[in-house]
Amino acid sequence: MNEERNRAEDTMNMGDHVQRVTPSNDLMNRLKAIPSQVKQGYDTIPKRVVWMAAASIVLLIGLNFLSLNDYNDSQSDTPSTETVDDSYFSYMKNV
Amino acid sequence: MHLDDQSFLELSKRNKDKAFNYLVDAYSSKVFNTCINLIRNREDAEDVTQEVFTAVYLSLDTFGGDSKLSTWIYSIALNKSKEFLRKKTRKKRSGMMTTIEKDDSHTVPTATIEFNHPGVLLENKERTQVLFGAIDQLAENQKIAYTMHKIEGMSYSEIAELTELSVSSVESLMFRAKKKLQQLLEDYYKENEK
Repeated sequence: MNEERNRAEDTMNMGDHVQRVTPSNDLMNRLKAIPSQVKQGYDTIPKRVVWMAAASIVLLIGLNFLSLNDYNDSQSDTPSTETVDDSYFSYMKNV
Repeated sequence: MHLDDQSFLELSKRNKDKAFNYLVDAYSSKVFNTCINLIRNREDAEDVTQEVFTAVYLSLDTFGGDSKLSTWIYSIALNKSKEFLRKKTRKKRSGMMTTIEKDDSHTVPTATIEFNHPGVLLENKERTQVLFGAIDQLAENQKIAYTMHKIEGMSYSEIAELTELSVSSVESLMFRAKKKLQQLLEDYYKENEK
């Protein structure tokens, strides 16, 4: 029992014998190259795609504004007391 | 060249790439060792170190000096290593279901441990392998605390800062980790002496 305990304790102390590892030159080069790789990553998105995305967003916002204006105009033309039900029944009476 | 955190922040605002190069020179060794001690495979640790420094570079603008520079970098290293180990465990688990079902013992399964730590001398390799196998049986937070303290040589307060725990919680984690390790290793030697 004691022998096993001693061996376990010895093994637990093995952590003290783990030496520091020096990063390889290859790793250091990879790390130093990170800024250029990240910038290259940004550059790989074609400018045309970026402009098309921006134009799509502008078009979407513009169309929303136009339809909002149309809606407001149609609301102001319709008398406020008239409801959908009223127009429906008057139509049915005429029929 | 050694910069304090304030000087580093100023350099980072003036020239991001130069500041990043300083970080690589100053912290790559420590980050790499943190990764290799948790992951224990040179190639994987190199890949994770690269991921850590990529994350550092991408979020360099957002580092405002709220925490210490070293704490910020090591916490990224710790999180990336944990992420890697979780992914690896998920992959292994799917392939090891049958083995786990059969295994009803609590001994250290050293045969299944991939061991490729270049910081271990050949004569210590076998026993260190047994130790690392036992460390792998610990709960994740115990494993991290034990590795950081016993292998990385960090103090309890440094670990507490890094893991956002109180010093007493780290002490408690270490106490439980040591107790469990002792038990696992005694069981292992009992089993292997028969």
